[in-house]
Amino acid sequence: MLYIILPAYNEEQKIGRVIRDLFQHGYTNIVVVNDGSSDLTAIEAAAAGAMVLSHKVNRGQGAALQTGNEYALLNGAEIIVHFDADGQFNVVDIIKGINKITDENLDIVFGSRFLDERSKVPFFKKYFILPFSRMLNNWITGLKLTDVHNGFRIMRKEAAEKIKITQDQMAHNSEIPRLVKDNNLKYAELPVEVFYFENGQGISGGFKILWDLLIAKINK
Amino acid sequence: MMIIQIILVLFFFFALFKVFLRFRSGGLKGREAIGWFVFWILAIAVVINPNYTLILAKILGVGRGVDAIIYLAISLLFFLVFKIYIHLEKIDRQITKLVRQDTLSSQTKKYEDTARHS
Repeated sequence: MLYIILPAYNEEQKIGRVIRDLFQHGYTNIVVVNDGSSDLTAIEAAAAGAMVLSHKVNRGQGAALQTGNEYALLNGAEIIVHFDADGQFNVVDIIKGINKITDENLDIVFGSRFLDERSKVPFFKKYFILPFSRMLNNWITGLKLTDVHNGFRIMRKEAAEKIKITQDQMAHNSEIPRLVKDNNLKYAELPVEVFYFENGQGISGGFKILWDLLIAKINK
Repeated sequence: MMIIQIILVLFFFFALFKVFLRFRSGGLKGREAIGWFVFWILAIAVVINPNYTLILAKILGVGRGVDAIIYLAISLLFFLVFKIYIHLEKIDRQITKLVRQDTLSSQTKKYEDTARHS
């Protein structure tokens, strides 16, 4: 059974369209983790036909993904897909990822914007921010990935059981590769298309991630 | 005695009184209460006779007693802020755990209710 997890915080404008797109492509188990949104995200998601899990207060994207993973595992998921609720990803990439994970007998597949030419990554981000972030992330996680903090991933049940996300905010994007490395999980990257209509994390967001990782290390 | 000394001594006595109240209500355990009690007593002693700090300055190899106190106070404050930060992180994780449990259990309950009514 396949579960698609969409962590969502104040996404009432876009979430309905993303869910309908997923249904149109034949996916049925769509779980929206409404992370304490103050808008109509939960109503829009339910109206579009998704299963909605609601955090009473906002806990962050990492926390929402872990809630989604636990729900999917409790309900017999064999494969779990992490997908953005804001329409950033292309639904057609999901089936490619599933085929890759089964054909190559992998535990987890990470999406990457840099393995084909479809994503129009902004110039400054592509040539200045991302190379540095990638170097730093690869050093922190111990995993050599061509992209950094890409929210598209597909994992098998066994991998989801081992990847327990404790980073509630955005640092989970570094924590997951770290756990993949620590648990010797078989991984690969998949070219995915990312649509740009907002800036995403700024430089201050990057510092916050580093800080969260450092505190987690001390707190162990 | 200078006015600042009087103010500080009064304030430290107030802090001592708070330690006593917290200990009596069970908010502070024995060892913690003794630690804070000794700390405020020493603070009062140093305010009344600042020359005591010279002993500390000599041990630490710092010129003036007041410098030794400032260095120690800053170090202690950093340590306490760090401890509070770590503690907050822990509380944050506990809140997430609770929120998740609540989300998952209310989902199960909703499912059971639907099953019962159908």
